[in-house]
Amino acid sequence: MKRLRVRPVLGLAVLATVLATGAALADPQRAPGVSRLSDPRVLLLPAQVEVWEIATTWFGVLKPEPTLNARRYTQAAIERELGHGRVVLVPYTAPADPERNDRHLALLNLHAMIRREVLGQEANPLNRLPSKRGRLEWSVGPGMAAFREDSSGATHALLLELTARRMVGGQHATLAALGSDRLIGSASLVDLNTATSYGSTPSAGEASIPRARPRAS
Amino acid sequence: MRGFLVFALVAPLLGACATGRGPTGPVADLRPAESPSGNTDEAGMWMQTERTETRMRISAAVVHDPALNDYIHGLVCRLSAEHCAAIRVYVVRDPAFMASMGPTGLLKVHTGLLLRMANEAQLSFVLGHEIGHYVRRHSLQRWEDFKAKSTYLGLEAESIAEFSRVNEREADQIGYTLLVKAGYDPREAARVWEAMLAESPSKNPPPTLFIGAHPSTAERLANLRESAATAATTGADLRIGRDEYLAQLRRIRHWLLDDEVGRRQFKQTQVVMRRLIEEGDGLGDLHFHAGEMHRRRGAPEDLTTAISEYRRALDFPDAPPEAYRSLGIVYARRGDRTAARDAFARYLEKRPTAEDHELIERQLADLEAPR
Repeated sequence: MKRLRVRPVLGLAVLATVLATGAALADPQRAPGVSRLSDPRVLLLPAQVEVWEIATTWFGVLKPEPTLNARRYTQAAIERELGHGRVVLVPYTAPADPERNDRHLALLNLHAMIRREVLGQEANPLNRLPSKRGRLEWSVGPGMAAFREDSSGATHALLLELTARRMVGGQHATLAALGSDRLIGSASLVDLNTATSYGSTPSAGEASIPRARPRAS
Repeated sequence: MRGFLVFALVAPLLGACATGRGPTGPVADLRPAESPSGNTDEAGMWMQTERTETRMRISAAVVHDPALNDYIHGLVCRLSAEHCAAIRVYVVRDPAFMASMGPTGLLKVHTGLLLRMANEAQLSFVLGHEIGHYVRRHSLQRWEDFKAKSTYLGLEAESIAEFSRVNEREADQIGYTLLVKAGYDPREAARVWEAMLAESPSKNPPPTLFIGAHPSTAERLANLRESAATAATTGADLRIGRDEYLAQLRRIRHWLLDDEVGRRQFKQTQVVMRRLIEEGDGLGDLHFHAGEMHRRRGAPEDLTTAISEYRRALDFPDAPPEAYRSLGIVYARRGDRTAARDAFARYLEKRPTAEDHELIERQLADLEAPR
């Protein structure tokens, strides 16, 4: 079986999404009400990056090597784009205390769920939440302060989620119905003092991942 | 991750078979402590299941009861000593009649399953079935089958379902083999299926992709009975383990019943209740919950039955004081103010510091006020 590799173009696509995410910090095209950050110390939480192969719309497997590569590329891209100038990146270290670590995981899960719900609502004009008024922000509550307490003086935390999926070769009908291989990314920046999260609009693009050749039996 | 409603099928005993037949050729059984490496599909499945397990570990839906976990894991070890260390048990608070096994040995046992098992032998059969999925790498086989057949979405649905049925039969066979090898009474496997069948809304569900992914009810029941009839069941030392099982179940059964009634699947719950009452353990709590089921359904005839069930519950020492509260609610709904008042008063007498005592006191005051 030929081993799958992530082509550089996937890394570029990931990078492009990260750049879009980074714009939340530096780009003047910010959401209304979001002011420019002064001397932010950004805790870089582990990016949720996954590369999937999908056989139907509801059954797929994670591709280990492309996923691990994409995680490395993403980390490198973030550090390259944000790790200089006035933004100070604070590397994340999981707490040694299991209870504290579980708390971090629970907060990250909760944050990811809320983010998906908010972004999902906002993606469809008919479902948009009136209270949001177009602003992609939410809060999971003061519990997020745990990240500030457990890191050295971070003022913000950056959470990134990237999912690349590709259809199994030959799924022409599925491809025609659902579109081709996709890369979807979104990011959010949490103010660790106020616990408010600011989300980026999801970015979508093509994921170019070579297909595996049929397995020799 | 594969999820399965647990059905029982008993086929002739298998020998120790080291391979299964996957869609692209033979698939070797998982060896003890084996894990996939490299960039394989199986490694990817493990990666995603490990992520799921990380989330489960901190999930509020998981029942953190070390004694119960140790007990179920002990059964896994009794059934399969060689895979014992690799299988992790999670009890999931969910009233569904369900268990599932992930490719990594992540075994989920839903509390609805625990409520329905009458003894250790029945639970062991289900655990053996799940171990069968794990050892035979059915998650991987099923994925490869999907990949091979899903050129056009849905076109080969029946073929995919048939492959899934083959997996299920194989897991049943392994479950049965492990049950017998562990010294359990093989007839208990048949009783799992009989109980499941009694609960089915229809004896002959329509053949769809999802339902058809399991062997038919008739086929499984026939195989089950045939094997149970031919198995050596006359030995004196065949294990059933009812006392051991009940020792675990009694600690949690009250809230298992709460969850079961909360499903609002009243016909199924009625079947479950009837069977549990026939088995005769914990009758006060069972009759109370039977009353709760009728009260929640709320049809006119249900209120009469609910009163009768609460009254019956109170004949047993394990009846919860909430039986008086529910009696008060039903009497009040029927306009019997005196009986309602008496019942609420008894409730407060039994539970003076109940969380809802202020609410009940207010209701009592309303009932005592002149009309």
